[in-house]
Amino acid sequence: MHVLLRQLRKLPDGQLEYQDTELAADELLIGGAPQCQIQWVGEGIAPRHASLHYGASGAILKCRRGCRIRVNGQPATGGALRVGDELHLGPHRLRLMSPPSGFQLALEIETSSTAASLYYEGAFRTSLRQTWLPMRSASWALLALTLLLTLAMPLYSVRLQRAGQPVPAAIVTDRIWTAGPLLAAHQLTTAATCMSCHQSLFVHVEDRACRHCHKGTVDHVGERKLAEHGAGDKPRCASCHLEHGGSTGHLLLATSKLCTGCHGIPGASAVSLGLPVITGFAAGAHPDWQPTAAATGLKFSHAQHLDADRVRTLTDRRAMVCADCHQLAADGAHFVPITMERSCRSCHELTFDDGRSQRQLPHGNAGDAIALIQDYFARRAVDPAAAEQWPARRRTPDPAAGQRCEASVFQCATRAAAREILLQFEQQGCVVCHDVSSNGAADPLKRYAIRPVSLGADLLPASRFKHTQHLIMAGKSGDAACLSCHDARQSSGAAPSMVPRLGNCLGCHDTSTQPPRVPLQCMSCHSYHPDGAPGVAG
Amino acid sequence: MMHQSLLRFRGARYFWWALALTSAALMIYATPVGWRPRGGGTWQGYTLGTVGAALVVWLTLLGIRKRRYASTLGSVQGWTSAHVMLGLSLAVIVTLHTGFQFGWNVHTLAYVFMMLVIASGVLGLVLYMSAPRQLSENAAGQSRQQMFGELLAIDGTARDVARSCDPSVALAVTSSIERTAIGGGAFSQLFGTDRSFFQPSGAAVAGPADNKDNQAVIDFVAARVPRAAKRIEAESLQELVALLCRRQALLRRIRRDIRLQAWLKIWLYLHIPMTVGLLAALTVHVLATFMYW
Amino acid sequence: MQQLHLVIVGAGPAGLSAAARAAEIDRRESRTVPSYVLLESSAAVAKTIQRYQKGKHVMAEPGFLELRSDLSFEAGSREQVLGEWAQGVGKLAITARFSADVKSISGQHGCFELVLADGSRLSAANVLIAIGLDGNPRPIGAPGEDGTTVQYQLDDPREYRQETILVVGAGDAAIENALALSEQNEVVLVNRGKEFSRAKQGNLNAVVAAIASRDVRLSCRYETRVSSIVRGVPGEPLAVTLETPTGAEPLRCHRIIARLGTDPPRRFIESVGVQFPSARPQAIPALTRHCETNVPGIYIVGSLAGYPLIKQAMNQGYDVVEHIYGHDIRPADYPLLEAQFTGLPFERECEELLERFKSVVPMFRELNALAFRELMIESDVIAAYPDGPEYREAGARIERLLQAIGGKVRRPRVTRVIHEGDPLYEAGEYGTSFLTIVNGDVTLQTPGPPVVTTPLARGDFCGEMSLLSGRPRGERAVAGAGCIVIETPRRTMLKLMSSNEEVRRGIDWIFVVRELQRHFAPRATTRDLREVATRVLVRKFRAGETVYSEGAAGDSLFLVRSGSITLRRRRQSQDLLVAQIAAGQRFGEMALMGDPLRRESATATVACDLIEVRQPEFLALMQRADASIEPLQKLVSGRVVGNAGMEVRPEAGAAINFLMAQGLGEATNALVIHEALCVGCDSCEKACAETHGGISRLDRKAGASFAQLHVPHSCRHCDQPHCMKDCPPNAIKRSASGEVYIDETCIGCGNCQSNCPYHAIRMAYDAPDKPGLLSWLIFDSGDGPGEAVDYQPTATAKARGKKAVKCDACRGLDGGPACVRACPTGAALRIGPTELPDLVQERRR
Repeated sequence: MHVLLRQLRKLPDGQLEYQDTELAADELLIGGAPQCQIQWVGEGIAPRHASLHYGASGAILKCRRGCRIRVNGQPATGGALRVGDELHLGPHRLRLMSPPSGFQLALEIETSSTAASLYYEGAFRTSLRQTWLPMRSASWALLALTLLLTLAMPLYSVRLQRAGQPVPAAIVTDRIWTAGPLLAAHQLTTAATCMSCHQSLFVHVEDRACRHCHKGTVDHVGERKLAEHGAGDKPRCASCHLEHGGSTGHLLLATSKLCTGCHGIPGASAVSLGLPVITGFAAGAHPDWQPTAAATGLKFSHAQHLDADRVRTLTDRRAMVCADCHQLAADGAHFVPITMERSCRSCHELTFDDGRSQRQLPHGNAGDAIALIQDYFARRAVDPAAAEQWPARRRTPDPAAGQRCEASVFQCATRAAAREILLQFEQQGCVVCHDVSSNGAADPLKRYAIRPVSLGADLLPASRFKHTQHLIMAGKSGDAACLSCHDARQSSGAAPSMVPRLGNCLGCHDTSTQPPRVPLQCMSCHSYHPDGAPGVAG
Repeated sequence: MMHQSLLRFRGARYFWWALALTSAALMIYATPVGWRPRGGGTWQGYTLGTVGAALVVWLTLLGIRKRRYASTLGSVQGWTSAHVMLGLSLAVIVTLHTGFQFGWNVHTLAYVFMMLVIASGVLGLVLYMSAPRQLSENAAGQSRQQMFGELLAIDGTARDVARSCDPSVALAVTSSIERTAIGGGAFSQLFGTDRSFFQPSGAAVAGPADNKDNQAVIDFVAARVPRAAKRIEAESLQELVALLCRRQALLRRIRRDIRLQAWLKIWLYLHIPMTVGLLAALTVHVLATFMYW
Repeated sequence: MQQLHLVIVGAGPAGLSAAARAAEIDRRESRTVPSYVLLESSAAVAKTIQRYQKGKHVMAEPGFLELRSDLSFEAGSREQVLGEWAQGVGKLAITARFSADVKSISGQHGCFELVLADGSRLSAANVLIAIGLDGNPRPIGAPGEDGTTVQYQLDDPREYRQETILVVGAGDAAIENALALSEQNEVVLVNRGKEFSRAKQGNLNAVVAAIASRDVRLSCRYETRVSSIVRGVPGEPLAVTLETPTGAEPLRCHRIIARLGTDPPRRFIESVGVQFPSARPQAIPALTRHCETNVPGIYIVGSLAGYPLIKQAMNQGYDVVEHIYGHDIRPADYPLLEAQFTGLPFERECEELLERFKSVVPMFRELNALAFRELMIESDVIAAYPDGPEYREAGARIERLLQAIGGKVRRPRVTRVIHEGDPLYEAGEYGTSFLTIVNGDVTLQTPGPPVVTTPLARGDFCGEMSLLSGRPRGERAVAGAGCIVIETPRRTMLKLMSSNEEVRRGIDWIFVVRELQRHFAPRATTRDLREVATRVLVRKFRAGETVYSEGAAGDSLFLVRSGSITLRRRRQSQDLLVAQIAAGQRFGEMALMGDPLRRESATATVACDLIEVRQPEFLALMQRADASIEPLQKLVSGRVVGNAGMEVRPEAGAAINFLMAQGLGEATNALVIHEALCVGCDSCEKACAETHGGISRLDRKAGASFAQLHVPHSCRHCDQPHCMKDCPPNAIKRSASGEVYIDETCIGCGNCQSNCPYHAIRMAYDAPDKPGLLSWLIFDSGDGPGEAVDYQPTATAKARGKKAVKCDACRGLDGGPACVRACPTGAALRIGPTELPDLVQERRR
């Protein structure tokens, strides 16, 4: 449309000043913004307050939402205008004149500039408050979102899981509450459902959750015993086993504090059971141990055997070493039990009848030995020829040859046997290594009892000790290593005397020295659960 | 001097408080933990956590206190100063509380929120320390309202003068006035982007031409001066150039004012929502800790 | 021509009440023809109140005063009040003649003759003049002028829009109207003179600017008068002819507003033969206690008699008429005096006591009875007793009285009974009163060192320093044995001084004496200094006026009585401020201490009163034994150092200059914002609004800035507040701690607003309550803390009308000004003049 704008201005001298502009536009903007063709600045005038455009029915006024203009004195939001109508907006005035030919619209505009400068800023967006930037709504959104994702949804998932219903993938599960990754095995077995361990909210994880799998596991002290000593509750699994440490983490915390927590504090449960106070591995902090002093029942001198002047090996004539007899068992902690056959016989044959006989006495059963002797002499009596096959190498005169045996042959034989038995059992045979006791009974079979021999018994059953780790120790190896703890050279008698005492270990493992030399935790020697490993069922 | 800045408030009293608090936290952290690994679970963890949570709550209370105008509970400047200092120490305390265990969980979420809040706070502090001086230098004792008033006046005279020049100049000038962009969206306010245009009439270009910083229109009009036919026209053209230059300078000041003011506010748009998020996450963090003991 | 007993001129509150009484008396004595007549120049009763803007709330101060009148009157809207009176006039059948302008009164008691504008004559035995202070608006004096074509006041400029309006006049009223109207209308200002000579500076600048601006639709015709007004058909504009220097100019306008001021009534009164005690405009004619003037038979009541408040005026009208008709009754304010005297040790008639008190104070002897009576009524009476039976007895007496009065809205003033030895006021507190000793003695103690005590006896007075300089009390006043003191509010005293030469001179003189004493001769008695005091002279300086200039020879030093002085030095063609001298300090003493040449030039920062002490007086003082020469020398050397210090920091000087220009010279407590710290959060404004009923008393953005110091629009609590000057109900007060505040008796007249040069006062409706803070913080309900932009007042608030609001320095609040406490960055500070140097210290961030 073609519009004629007549700007009216009264000059100070009262004269009217016209100023016409023609423009072609399909709509005229009225407002404070500079791009409005009719720029009216003032209180309560929006940047684009209203628009005028020319329709079939003539000029039509449209106000922006919330805006008003006084048309002929009446506040209006829009509508068709007729020639002669007067619009008032604040101090400004506009009148529709009858348009000259060639124009659809002619407007007489009187723009007042009173106080306009005060309101001009209103024509622009100059403060962040006028922009889309939210503050309160953003806060609300963030609040809602956080609570939804980290509280509402997880709680819902818990509910579903309890009800045994599947949890939709879209739902954030309670896994978001996790304090850290699980041990791989647990991750696998629990399928990372929190409630398989955290069975009820606001309650510590209970042992039954663990026992669900760890059926066989036993504690070294039971509720009952603690209870009857009024020694408080049994520690929870979780008080030693801490999850959410990841696979590298701290499922079992190898630290003495776990034990000393009970055993180290006077008055704590364990101590109240009358056990010694153990605060660490150091003189005074840890009791010395009493080896189970079971005598081996064998007459054996380590000193003698290690003495090269007195004992050398049969084959290559060298001095003996520990390893000749002591072989580490597979567990690396204990030794293969010593046997006569494997460790002694090579030197110590069991010949008799001064070597006239080819045979050797059987080992391990006194009865057999006696029977064998009697048989031997009996046979010699009845069949001297058979008996007379001497070995070429030695020929000792028969002690009996000298005197004649007046009695019957059989009686002579019996006597000889008896003499031999006496000799073996009481003078030079078995008695060399074994304790033989005689009750003086007539029948030799009934007369002798040999002290049973126990070798390779675990002398410190309550602790674990790996010999393998110590075969090379403090710069020593081989016998030197062994002898640095077990002084066999001095020991002429029973083995237990050679079990090292606390002192030996402290030399390296004293935890009280600063810095502790080779740190040692309770767990290095002792285990909480009897017979060690947790028995996982199935 | 009588005026004291936030940081120097009462001989930087709260700086020392914060320092003390932080070193206390470090000391606590340094104490040997029990058999547990460092982190929220240890007693140190619980202590630091409690302190941290308490701090967070107290820090948010500034929003209330500064609007409880009748309150005599210390001065708001004191609170703000403390808010800044202790807020900074919070970063250390809580980091120690975590024991450097992070993961994809609500606990780390809370931590991240808190760090964002603190970061935005630091931004705000920097702005508070620097912007006002620049603002007052830029404003040169004029309020923004006055600047706009002056702008309106210049526009008016420029329009009048332009009218007396030849139509192309008039069009250029009026269009440049009409298409001058001031402020606008958040981005434009913050970075003072200037999407001004004007309508150069002439063979060269058709349609609106870029008029960033209102330089183009000045050049356009200036170019006409030598080619002016009559003396009177040359004069009015020169007056016009002078006006437009004044206008340019004024616009620069207005834009700078808007920009600085915007920056003084913008950080809050991060700080506040994040704080609310933090409060939510913190609540859940504490809840979760005790729900799954 | 029938002889009347009484003619009442003026149908204001006083006149109406008087007429009502007369009517009543006639009725009682069953006269058939009225013995009186009420004459009113305008067309309706109570012209002044008619002029109030629509719906303006009319107060009934003072609350404790009984209304004694046959007309009813109570606080209410302008319309209610006028309605009631119009009704009353009808009901009591008061014989009144409106539009009857009395031109002259002649004759003497018994047979006065009054000539009216329309030529008619009246004769009466007595004349009661109750025409108030406003007088009648001067007419344009052009044919066609009448109430319908010309209006003499403007209620609400906003109610006219898009009209052409002729404003006739060049005074402040005319200018203000013209400017206000020009916002929505085409205004032509018709000025008889060449310029606006009578206008306030502010108005002058504004109107000149407006006329110059091509945008404001205000034009002015100088040396022009309206020569004729022709009214066309109703609705059509008036046709006016202006007589301009260049000849007649026709003009069509919608309305004409004449603001040519009024004829002050004084000239008329004097023409009657009544005398005024002083030439000052505020002077009140000398009256007996029955309001009779020196011309027997002519009485003056109402504001013209110094009783500005409606209720007082009505009571006076009543009393005086009773007196004229020969019934001697106790005036309505008698009970007030009674209450004020109950606590006194002697049982006497109030009137007698009044006489007695008046006679014992030399300064008051010359005072006319009515003025003194008013002074007494507005004052407090303090009586000191030794601890004991008398003390308790006095207390009991007051108790009984209060019992008797019972359930009054506000209790009347009663004697303040104190113990002998109690302080009347303390040094350092802001004095708001003037003490006159009418019995016993009082001792003044100036806080040392050296502590000096001055005994005062009956007839002496104290507290004049705060009265004249607005400074805090310099000494401590202690009640002595059996002392009775009249404590008069500052405003009353100032009014008295301006209307009565005696009093002014008396107070000026004692002030000078005490200043000399304070500065030079601490131990001197009044008697010692009388002679010197008469020789020194008190000089007034306008703001910016030069006291002496650098390089000139001088032989005198100056004591600043009020205002403040700026000392400058000229260096390389620029003036460097070297010192700021506040009220109570002295300067220029170098001239008397061996350096006759002035080293700096002294100019008055604000309007100042200075006491000039010249060589001879100075020497006379210095010869005294107790002359304190050392402190004087110390001060001098200190001043020299200080000046030098300031001189090397011109920027600080410049800053101080700026602050002075912003009125901090007369400020006691002003808000200064450090722009380098201010983040524009507006917490100060919000805090102000939130702690003051939702209306902010300060405008941070407004106000000037310099060197990053910003002085926003807010109250400076000036040492002599401009706002206090003209407050009808005396609602603007100064607390002992110095805050200037407006109390609830404000009647919303707006005088203070126009008197304040710092835009510190606004007229505003009470703001509506808003939702609590949390509900805004959380749910965004309401528009948050601070003053809501164009809030909508509630109906009740509208009914109460706009009231003046200004900063009260949060005197009610503990913790000090909220604006400062609420500033998060420490940018906002409130400071007094002594802190200026600290303020301009170099700043670190």
